Amino acid sequence: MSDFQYYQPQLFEAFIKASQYMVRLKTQQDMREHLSKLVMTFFAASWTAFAKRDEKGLIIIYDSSLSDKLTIQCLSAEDVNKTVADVLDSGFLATQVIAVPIPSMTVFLPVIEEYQTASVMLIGHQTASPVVSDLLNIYLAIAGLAGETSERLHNELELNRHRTQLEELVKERTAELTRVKHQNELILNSVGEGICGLDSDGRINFVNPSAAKMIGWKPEELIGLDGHATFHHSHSDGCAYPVEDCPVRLALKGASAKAVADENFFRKDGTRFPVEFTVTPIKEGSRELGAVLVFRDISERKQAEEELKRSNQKINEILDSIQEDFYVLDSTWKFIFASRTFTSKIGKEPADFVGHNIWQMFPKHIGTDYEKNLRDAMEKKEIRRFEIGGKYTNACYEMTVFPSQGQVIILGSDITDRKKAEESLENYANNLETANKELEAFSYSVSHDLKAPLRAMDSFSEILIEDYGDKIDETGRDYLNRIRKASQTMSQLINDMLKLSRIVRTEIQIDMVDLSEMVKSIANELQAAQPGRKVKFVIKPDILVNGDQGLLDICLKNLLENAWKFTANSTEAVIEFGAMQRDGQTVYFVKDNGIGFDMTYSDKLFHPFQRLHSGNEYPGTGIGLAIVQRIVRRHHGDIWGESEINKGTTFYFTIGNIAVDPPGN
Amino acid sequence: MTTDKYVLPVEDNPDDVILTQVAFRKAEIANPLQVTADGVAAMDFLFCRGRYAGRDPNDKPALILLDIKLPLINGVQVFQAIHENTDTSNIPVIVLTSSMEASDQRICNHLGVTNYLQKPASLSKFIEIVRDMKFEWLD
Repeated sequence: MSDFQYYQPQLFEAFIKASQYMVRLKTQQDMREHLSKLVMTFFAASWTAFAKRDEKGLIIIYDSSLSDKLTIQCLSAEDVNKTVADVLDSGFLATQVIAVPIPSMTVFLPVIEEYQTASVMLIGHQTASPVVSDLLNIYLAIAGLAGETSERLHNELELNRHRTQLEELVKERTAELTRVKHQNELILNSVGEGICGLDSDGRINFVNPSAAKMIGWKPEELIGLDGHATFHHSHSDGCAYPVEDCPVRLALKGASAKAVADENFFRKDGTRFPVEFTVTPIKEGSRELGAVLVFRDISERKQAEEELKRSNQKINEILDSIQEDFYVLDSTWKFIFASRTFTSKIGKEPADFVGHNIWQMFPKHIGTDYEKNLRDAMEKKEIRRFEIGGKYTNACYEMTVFPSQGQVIILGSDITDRKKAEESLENYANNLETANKELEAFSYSVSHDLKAPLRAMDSFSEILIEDYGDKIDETGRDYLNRIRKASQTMSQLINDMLKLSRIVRTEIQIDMVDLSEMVKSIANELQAAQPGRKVKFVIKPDILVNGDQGLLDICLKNLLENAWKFTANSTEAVIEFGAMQRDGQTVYFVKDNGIGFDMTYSDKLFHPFQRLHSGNEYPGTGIGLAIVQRIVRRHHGDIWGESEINKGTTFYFTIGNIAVDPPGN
Repeated sequence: MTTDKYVLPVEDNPDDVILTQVAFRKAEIANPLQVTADGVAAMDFLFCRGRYAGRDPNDKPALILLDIKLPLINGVQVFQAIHENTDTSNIPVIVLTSSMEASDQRICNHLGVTNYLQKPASLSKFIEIVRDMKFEWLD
């Protein structure tokens, strides 16, 4: 020990300074360092060290002011450890002389933290003499200070750690909150519905972009405005909407959620739109914090509803206007729909039928063909068509039953008139056929019966002239000749009439007919019959047509015979046959340069037995053209003639498209 | 025996009967005419029954002139009867008629009528036909 004199005030002062300083220290290590410096400076300690038990329970030395080498060498001894252990366990100080390397009086001080000896401070004096008790007290005080400071520092550390942790937590939570807030904002902003937050006075404290857009304001403009006054102020007719009646206000006050459809909101520009909205009050306990208003613009929907109503109306109008019996039955035979025309037949409205079972309403139809057909259609899913005579009237109906998706649709058309018409047509046709047959038989027998007397007249006149000619004078013979001529004419007339009727009665057989060849052969015949006559024939070849060979032969024969006849007095007779196109149709013609006829009388041309020339000049009964016209008409064609007196005549005719038509046309 | 050859006209019209006779005379045909006025009489004659019951069946006409249009029985039926009976089927039959209807001709063709003539309206024509007949059937 040095010559240092310990005066208590000095020691005390030192202690105060030390403790003042200690308060400012931040780390344990600093504290130990400082204490070490303090003790070695003011109390002439030679060295300091600290010791504690580690996790394994072994004594360790740390923060020693000695060199590492010395610390390990001197302070790791068994006896040092033991002393440390004693101090740790008892909480009392101890002293011991340790060689460091020269003997040092070492004080072992307990450093108490939280009522426990946490560590031991070793203070070594390089002396063998014991440490003065005042100094020991000081040292104890210092150890106590150390303990408390350590505790304090510990707590501070702990506090800092907690604070940091808390800060971390707060940061995390804030981030989370921000994220959630952001997400909510996204949702609110992207939602199609308008979302509006109102405070308990009905002022807008939140509005999402959709809401603002729908009512034509900028979101920031709306905050703080009275919601009702801003966009819910009037009814659709323009009358003011008192806020007391407003369901939103009532919800705010009455505090139950309300859903409203069919009201109008108004935009900033004054226009309005139909909405449906819900208002939900926000409460905390019994405290009303306001409400959330969620609304939707239902203009489109309203429009669609209108259109649907209109189209339904249209459909109903159409259905109502159905003039037929039209009704629909479901799978249980109940009426789904019945047309007014149908229901009014028994003096009822369509509504009276809907939902009722048809078999219950009309039991008379059970067991009939009608029932069978309806059931067939429903079960077999086949369309059924049948006729029924009316049970309540004499009307006739054509029924069609359509199965469709478990229902049957029935359409009944009144065909009474049609049937009547069909019947009368059938009757008419039958009558016509009968008449035709009778006519045929008649004309057949008549011609027979007429011919016989004519034959007698002609023949007996001839015999008279031949056998009794010498007994009759010239006048008498002349008269007899006239009798003969007359009967011959009548015979010819009868033949012609038969010919004409035959044309009408014959069945047409359609073939490809070469008219040119036909004309050629007729021309040859005519020439052969009168070889003396010189007639030039100009025949266009390869004229083909679809028609009846026989009839067309007769037709052309007549035309050519006429041409031949009426060119009898021409010096250079020319008869032409050809075809040309007129208005997209083929027109055939027979042309001669003969005597011609007066066009004034051309309307009489085709009348049977009507002649435009006297019998003296040109013979004939006047049946030829009538026959020709009949034939052409049967071929669905037409015939007409053009002529100039002394220049010639041309007959034009067409042949139409013919299907086989029955005789009698 | 040419003089025994006779002709059987089956004709109901008395005028036509006379005309036939005149025509034969003018055609200088001496063969006698056995006229029957209807189909029943004709058949009675040919088959030797009825009013002609006592007649000799071998006594057959050389030629039959048959009118289609007859009272009582149709000329066609008469022809059929003649044609189907072996005794009479070899007698030549000329069917005479006013009708040139194709349907009648067809029916007759169908039945086997090979000679079908229209009654000519004029006597001279008739005489010509009769001459041909003589040439073909009676010589």
